[in-house]
Amino acid sequence: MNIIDAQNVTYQYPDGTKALDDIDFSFEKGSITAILGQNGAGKSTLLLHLNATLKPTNGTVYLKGEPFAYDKKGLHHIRRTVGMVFQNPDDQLLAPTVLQDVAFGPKNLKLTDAEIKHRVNEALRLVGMEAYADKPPHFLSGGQKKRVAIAGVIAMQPEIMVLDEPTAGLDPQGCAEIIEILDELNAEGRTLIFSTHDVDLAAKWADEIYVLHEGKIKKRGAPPQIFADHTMISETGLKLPTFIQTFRELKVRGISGGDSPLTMLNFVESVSKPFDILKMRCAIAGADVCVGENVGLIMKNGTLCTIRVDADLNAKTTAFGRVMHNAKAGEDIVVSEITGTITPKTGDIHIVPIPRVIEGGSRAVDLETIRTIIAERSPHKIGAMGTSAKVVVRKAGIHCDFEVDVIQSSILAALRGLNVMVFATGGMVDRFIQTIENNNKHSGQEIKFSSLAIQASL
Amino acid sequence: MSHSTIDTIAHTNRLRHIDTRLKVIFAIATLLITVASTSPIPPLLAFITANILILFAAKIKFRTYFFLLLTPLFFGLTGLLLMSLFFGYSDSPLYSFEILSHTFVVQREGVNMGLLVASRTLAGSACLLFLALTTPMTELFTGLRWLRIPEVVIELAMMIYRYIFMFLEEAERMWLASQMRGESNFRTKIDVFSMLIGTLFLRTIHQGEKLFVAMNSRCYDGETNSLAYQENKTKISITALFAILLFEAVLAFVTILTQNAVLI
Repeated sequence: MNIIDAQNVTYQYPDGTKALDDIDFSFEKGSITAILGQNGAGKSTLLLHLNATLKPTNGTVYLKGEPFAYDKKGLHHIRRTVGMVFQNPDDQLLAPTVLQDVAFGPKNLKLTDAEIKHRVNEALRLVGMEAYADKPPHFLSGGQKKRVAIAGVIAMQPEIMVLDEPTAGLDPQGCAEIIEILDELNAEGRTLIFSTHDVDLAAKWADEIYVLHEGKIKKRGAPPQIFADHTMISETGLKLPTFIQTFRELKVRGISGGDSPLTMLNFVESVSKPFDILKMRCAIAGADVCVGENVGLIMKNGTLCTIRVDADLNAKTTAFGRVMHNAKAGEDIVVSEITGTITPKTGDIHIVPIPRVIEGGSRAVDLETIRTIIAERSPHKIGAMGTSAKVVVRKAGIHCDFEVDVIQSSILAALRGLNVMVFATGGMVDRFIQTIENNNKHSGQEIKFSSLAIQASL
Repeated sequence: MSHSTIDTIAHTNRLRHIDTRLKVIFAIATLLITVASTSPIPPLLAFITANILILFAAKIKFRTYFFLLLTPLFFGLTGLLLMSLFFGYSDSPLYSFEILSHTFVVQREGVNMGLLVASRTLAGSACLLFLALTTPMTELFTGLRWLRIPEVVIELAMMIYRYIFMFLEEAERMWLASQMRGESNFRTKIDVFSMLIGTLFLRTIHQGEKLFVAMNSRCYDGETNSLAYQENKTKISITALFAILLFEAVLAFVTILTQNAVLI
């Protein structure tokens, strides 16, 4: 179902230039849409139409099938359904304290004080800024301001969130944190529409991409379709995501295969073909191994591999066999030729769901249980995704290896043979499982995963 | 950045968590009594009390405070000097001297008037500095609302407070940028300065427009209590309130006792 539709939208500035030239667009409920384009392509103008800040010179915008009404009542309805986060948080934060700023929207919605309090606290907790409630905005860093700006919109509980370059001007970690917050909101069913210059972000995160060029929609479609059209990409002044560029270079050299990758994970899949080991620790020296058997090897970097032996290792007739025969257990040996196929042993992923902020968040979790689970399974790597999961991990004093890009990092670690435990907030668990299943289907390497329910202490 | 010093102190001093209303009552009542006093004694008492509170209760560094007090001190002393020379007609001059064959006479009334003005200036400044250094602006707004200052005024003050810092930074950036480009003499400095002011003014208008769009995006409909949300409703400590009222009563009593009393 489309939550926003628009037909033949034209927007003309008073001086006659057309910022938008007869474009149609539609956004599906619950989807993430990225709008790409050069500076001045009309991205911001398009976004400003979505909450009726700008009224099209020609054409109509529909909210859930109803045409936008630009009278006072209509605007109120549109703006409480479509929340807008501006590019520069300083343009948006207007109150002397964080708390009052987040309360500004709910106050305008004429909610009761109790409801305002509830929403403000929830929004601040979701973006992890509750400790800053009494601070004035000029005491905050750019990333923190951005989070407060997002909280101010979340507190109004809009169904659609429109974000103008949500990651512009942020450091990599700040950027990843913002994306995670937005991801969590999307997992709860909110529709996200954002403009960006970051093609990598659009490629890995968006369900659909619009490419805007000189006020017209040059192309719309899913990321693979968009980035398959290299001519269009260069014509519109964009660039290909780094992975796709690298993939193309590797493909012409015969190293990668398959479809264009959009994420690190896809990329690893595209190059994971049988590879040769040159160095390994001798774990099987002296053992009787027959041809056709699988033996486990520990590679020098710690990765576990199994190797199908197709030459007699003990026969001393092959170079490999001689080396293996003379080696002592635990010794590093250099193998210069090997003909076996190697399948790395994959690790397991344990997912521990943590209640969402609105379900009690970190307070609904017994920290002792968390510590016990970790002690029992002793995972190699620990990750936390989502706000309340991060709070739980911090409170329990657990060191986290993955805090950004958790799904992808965990799968990559599991592919390397490490066991991973991830604390995932509410709605993000399904997305995680889906990604693992997808990976299992495509990469041919089975990662086992389990979801460990923990008892809530409430 | 340097300009946020007072703001930072207000957020970190030892009296930060005392109820704002108490601090407002103390500052304003003391200020009013000081202004009403006809003798320099109550203002001096108020000045000493405010200093003790600032330096010892709130633990604000003497250097910082003294620097802020320099301006009123300068005005007070200049006033004292000028008034003692040009005020009063009595027949009992305290002192007289001659410069370039012009006789200057220091009159008793002049000195007393000068002392009164100087002491009031210092006491008033100390009271306001006490408020400024111990209470974050953000909480002062709550205090003002409690004093029934019209909501429009408070709301405007809040936004002005919010944007003062942005424009200060903007001005600092622009000034730096101008400094980085070439040498400057007095003439060009004046030119650059006027240009900066002009540009800054245009930016404020531009920012105002952006702000209005952002406010509308969050369903702003022109009603004036959108920023009135307050979560922490603190209670006034009765003991502290009583202590303050007692102090004010004593000060008022001293004011009546010392009516028209003079130091010299």
